[in-house]
Order: sequence, then C-alpha cells, then structure tokens
Amino acid sequence: MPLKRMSDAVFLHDDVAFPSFDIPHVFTYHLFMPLHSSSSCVFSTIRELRVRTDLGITIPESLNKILTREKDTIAVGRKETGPDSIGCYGAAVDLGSSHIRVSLWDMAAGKLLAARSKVNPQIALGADVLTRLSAASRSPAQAHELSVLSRHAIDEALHELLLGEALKLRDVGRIVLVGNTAMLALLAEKNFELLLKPVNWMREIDCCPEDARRWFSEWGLNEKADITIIPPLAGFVGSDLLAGILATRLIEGPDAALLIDFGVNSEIALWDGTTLWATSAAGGPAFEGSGISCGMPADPGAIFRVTLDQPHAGFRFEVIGGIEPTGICGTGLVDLISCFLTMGALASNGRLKPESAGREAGMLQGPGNLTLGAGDIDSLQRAKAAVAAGALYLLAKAGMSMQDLRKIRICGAFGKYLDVRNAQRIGLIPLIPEQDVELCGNTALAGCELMLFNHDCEETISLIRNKTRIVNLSQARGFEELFIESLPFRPMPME
Amino acid sequence: MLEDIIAAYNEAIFDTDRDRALKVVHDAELRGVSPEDIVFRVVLPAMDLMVKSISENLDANLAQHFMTAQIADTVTAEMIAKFKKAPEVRGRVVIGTASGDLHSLGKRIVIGCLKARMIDVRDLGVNVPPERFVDEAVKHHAEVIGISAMMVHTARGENGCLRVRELLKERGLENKIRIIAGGAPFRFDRELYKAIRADAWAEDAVTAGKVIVELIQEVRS
Repeated sequence: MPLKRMSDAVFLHDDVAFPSFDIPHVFTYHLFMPLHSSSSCVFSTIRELRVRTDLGITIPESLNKILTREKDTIAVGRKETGPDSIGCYGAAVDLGSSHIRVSLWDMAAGKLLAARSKVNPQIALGADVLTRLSAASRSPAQAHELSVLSRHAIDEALHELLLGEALKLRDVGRIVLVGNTAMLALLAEKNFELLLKPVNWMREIDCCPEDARRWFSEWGLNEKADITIIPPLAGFVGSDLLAGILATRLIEGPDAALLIDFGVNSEIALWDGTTLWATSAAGGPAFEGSGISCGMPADPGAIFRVTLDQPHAGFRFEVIGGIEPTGICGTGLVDLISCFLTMGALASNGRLKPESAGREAGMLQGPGNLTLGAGDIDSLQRAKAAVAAGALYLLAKAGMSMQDLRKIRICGAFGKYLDVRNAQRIGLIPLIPEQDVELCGNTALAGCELMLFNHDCEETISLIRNKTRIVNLSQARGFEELFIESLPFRPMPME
Repeated sequence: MLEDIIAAYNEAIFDTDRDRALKVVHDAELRGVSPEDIVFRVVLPAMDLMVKSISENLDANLAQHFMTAQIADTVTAEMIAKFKKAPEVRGRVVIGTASGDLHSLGKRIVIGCLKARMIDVRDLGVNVPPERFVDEAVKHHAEVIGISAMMVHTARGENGCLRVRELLKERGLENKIRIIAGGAPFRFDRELYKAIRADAWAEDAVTAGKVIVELIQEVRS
C-alpha cells in the first residue's frame, strides 16, 4: 500500500517502532549520487526530494522509477550493477552516543528494506561520552566491554533487520559505518585516551580497528563483504558530521551554508564557499531533556510542540505518539520558552517575572501540569548560548556576517520537530529567512547510505576533508565573551 | 539612603543591566557616598545577597553570576583608586583550571568576586599542572589554591587536585595552604571534593568567594 510504504521511507531515520503518526511533518531526504564511471555501481545525479506525510504522495519501491511530488517531477537516473556485486544487500550504520541506527538496503534495486534505531547499550557504562572514554582509559577490561557492547548492538540490529526480510548475514555484501570520534575509538578499542587530552582535539585520531573483519566474521558475515568504517575528521568531530555534510550537499556551490546537529555536543559546520569550518560545541544535555525537571528525550509521551492558545491563554501542545504527555523534549522546550517570553512570564535575560500569571514560587507552570524552574532555564540558556556562540564564532572566523548565510540545515532530532521561528526568536539559530532554514532529520545515516551506494566515495570524502578546518572552541580567544553575550533569549545579532 | 542604593544596585544586577548598575554607583558617588562605602556597603552586600539567593534556589542564573562578578570587579577597581588609604589585602589566592581542562569561565567569575573582597588573586590560567599550583602558591604566599574543573575526568584525574594534595603533603604545607575545588562535576556529586582530597568546594563561582574568605580566616588563625 502506497501510504504504508511512504511511512516506511519517511520514518527510516526515526525510531521504527512508532510508525503511526497522524501529525503532519516535513522530512527532507536528500539523495545525491555522483557519477563515477569506474565503479561497479553507477548513478547519475538526482535532485532533492521533499516528502510531506499529509499529501498524497506515492514513493515507488525502487529509485529507478519516477518520483512525483506535487507539481514537480523528479527524474531518477538509471543504475547499473557491476558484474561482481556479491551479496546484493548493504547496511548503513550510524553509531551515535545515545542511539545506534541501522538501515538495510537492496543494493541491486536501490531500495530501502527496513531500518532500526536502538539505544546504545554503552549507556550502562556512562551516560555521556567523556565518562565512557575515562572508563576505557582507566581499565582495558572496560575498554573491551565498551567495544563489545557497540558491536553487539550493531549485530543485533542487523540480525533483526535481516530476519524481518528473511535474509541471512551472508547476503550482506557491504557495510558502511559512521560515528562520532569517541564512538569510533571505543568501537576500535584504541586511542580513546587521546580524546581526553586537549592537545589532541585538533588532531586526527586513528580509529581504524586492527581487525574489523575478524569480529564481523564472528557474526557470520561473508568473507568477501566490504566493511568500511569512515574515519573521523579530527578531535571530537566525527564521520557522522562528514556524512551529514555529504547528505545535505552543504559544500556544493558558492552559497554560504550552516549545518547544526544538535545534541549534548552540538556539531556545527559552516561552508563559506571555499572552506568548511567545523566545530563541536558542548552545551550540556539540556536540549535532550536531560537535567531539566520536565524534560525527556524525543520519545513517545514527549511534548514536541507548544503553542499559546490565545483566547484562553493556555497551552496547546502536540505529543509524540499522541499519548498522554510525560515530559517535554528539546523542541518543545524551545517552544515553551518562546511562549513564556510572549506571555511576559520570562524576561529575555532568563529572569522569571514575578508579576505574571503562571508563576509560582520560582516555577513556571507549563502544559500538562509540567513545571519549569529557574535552574532549568539556566541550563537551557547555557545550551543555547553554546550553539549560538559556536555559530557566531565560525561566522567570524570565516569573515562572514549572518546576512551572508544562504541556508541553514538542522539535523538530529531537532531536524524533525524544531519550530524555526521560535528557534530564531530565542537566538538558537541565526536569523535568516525562514524558508532558507531546512529541517533534515538524521543526516548522518542519510550520508552513510550515500556512501554505501558509492564505492568511490573516498574521493568525495577526501575533498571534504581537504576543505575542512576544525575549530576548537575551548581554545578560541573571544569565545567566552560570545557565550556570555549569547545567554539571553533574544534573536542573534545581525553583525 | 544606602538601603535604596543597595536595592537599586541589586535590581540592576538581577536584571543583568550593566549600564543601570554602573549608573546607580555613580549617582551614589555624586550623592556623597564614599568609595569605601560603595564597595563595602553596596557591592559586597549585593554579592552576599546573590549568594543567599543561590542557596535559596531563587533567581540566579549564569548570566546574573557573571554580571555580579564583572561589575563588582569593575566598580571595585574604580573605587579603590579613590580610597583614602590603600585597602588592606585580606588574603592571597592562586587559581587555575586543572590539568587537561580548558574551561575558564567559572574561574573568571571567582576572580571577579575575590577582587571585590580585597583578596589578591593570581590567575594561573588553564590546563595547569599540579606542580605549578603549589609552586605559585608558595611564591605568592597564598593561603588558598583554587582548582576549577568542568569535567569529571579532570576533577578526578591523577594530575588534578589529588596530585596537588600529595605535593602539599610532601612539602609540609598542609596547614598553610587550603585547597578549594569547583565546577560542574562537584554539583552532581556533592562528595566529590572529599574524594579528590580538597578542603572545600563551592556550588558556584559567586559562592566560592565567600567560602574562600572563610578558608583564609582558617589559615590565618
């Protein structure tokens, strides 16, 4: 049935366990396949595909067919498979700190079969990346366990996917894996202690496992299978960002473009037309809902959108999964702050205004009886300021002003639900025309999938690497000033 | 009259309105309040009030803390130049961020608050090796070593506070120099300062100023 297939495609970067979703969303799925005559798989360039769940769109099963979208017709190029394509199935893996995402593809048909998102079991040894890295550095046994945990998670996800399609692991001919540097180092069980020393934060970290083949073959992978782990850029900036750059086509053309992947460490990349400036901004886990009294991750039960119900001066909210709300996730918190600013309950400097309705003993009363305290607001200010200051710093480094920015790409969970207007109002993202800000979902996996289909992606990746300059914000002169100035909830200054 | 000035100054700080706070101070000067009174009866009580607000979990976000320290530092520097006689140095502190750590914001706020309290502060910078903490403390006759660490592994690291403690012990300096530690990890684990063998910790940088004054009094008595 077309609608179900569309749901699958649309939610391929989402947690697949929750397909029923009656709220309209916009997902942008970028497909870009460079022409490489030398490889065994040949694609021609196809253009951006924008999918809305509230429109009657059919997405054909194979990339070979014509895709229709509203008025436009997007033509998809032909694909030729080479003669020696063994095991016509491939898997793309995004090894994230909190989630591992795997998608399974029919390489011959160019068709997505299924996808899985699993919680990264390493969380048991440390919620945050630094804790895991320290654990690994202190104890080889823990280092080994951490590696085993992520391997098993990937293995499990693959097996579930293959089982669902009645396939065997031996049918998988190619796996491509991306991740942030810490995850890759822990997977490879090497060089994790390097990440704890500031001197290495601009350096390349070798995360190549000594023998990936050995543990993958333990799972029953075909000996001829091609396993590629894409190396990180440098320091904490991993290959997940690299994949995101690829998927969003950030560095194509002269237009200045900014990419932000929100998380505990938000990755920010700015393309100024010649150079890709990349950095990691540590703002704390507030935007993942962690440490916030009413906060939670973007899971079922999370309020992800809040609007003011003007006539009644209450809140209208939307919940993931459409069930009773148990908390508010990052994008909901962004909306909530914007609402409180409008209501006059919160001043832009973060101070709770005593005179306004809804304030009670240092707390703000939100939707669903959830409350937001002064400490929560402080955490959110810091998280916001880290990202804003990171973006401003990169702009300054590139000698650009905000007016020069032509597009912004939002990735990660924020890249699904973020309300752009509210985000700009509180100063989370630069103030450029709303239509130039695009929500891209999980671009790390999308980029990984592109690399899955493109055996010669090494060249493209090299190109990206050569044009990339890593910026270390913790050693950046003037960053702290920018951070302090970015604390208030107000639009980012134009210059 | 002073009560009004203190109230107005505090309001400006809590509103993070730097210009207004400075205006209150200059208006006070024009009305004949002495530079000494401005520091000791306006700025410092305002800082103590901030500490109280923090402990009572009211209004006190990072922006307010930073402003408190920054304005206190600026105003004090301006006023001291006009004191009838040079103020007595109430103590000496060396402060830095632990080895492997580059965060300096917290440290900056502490320094601002200490200066307002007439304490001589030496800023050792970031990524400070343990030996340097001790050497500089000795060189500057400091009563307190302040170690800032924003990450658990730099707080607990073998080149952090633990090593500083060892060095103080080795050199027989434990009754002359106290160690205070601070930073995000200490708020999540309130016993952490003991685990790393510091003498004290502070919830935040503004409160640290007050705790350090107490530590100095301890050493001097």
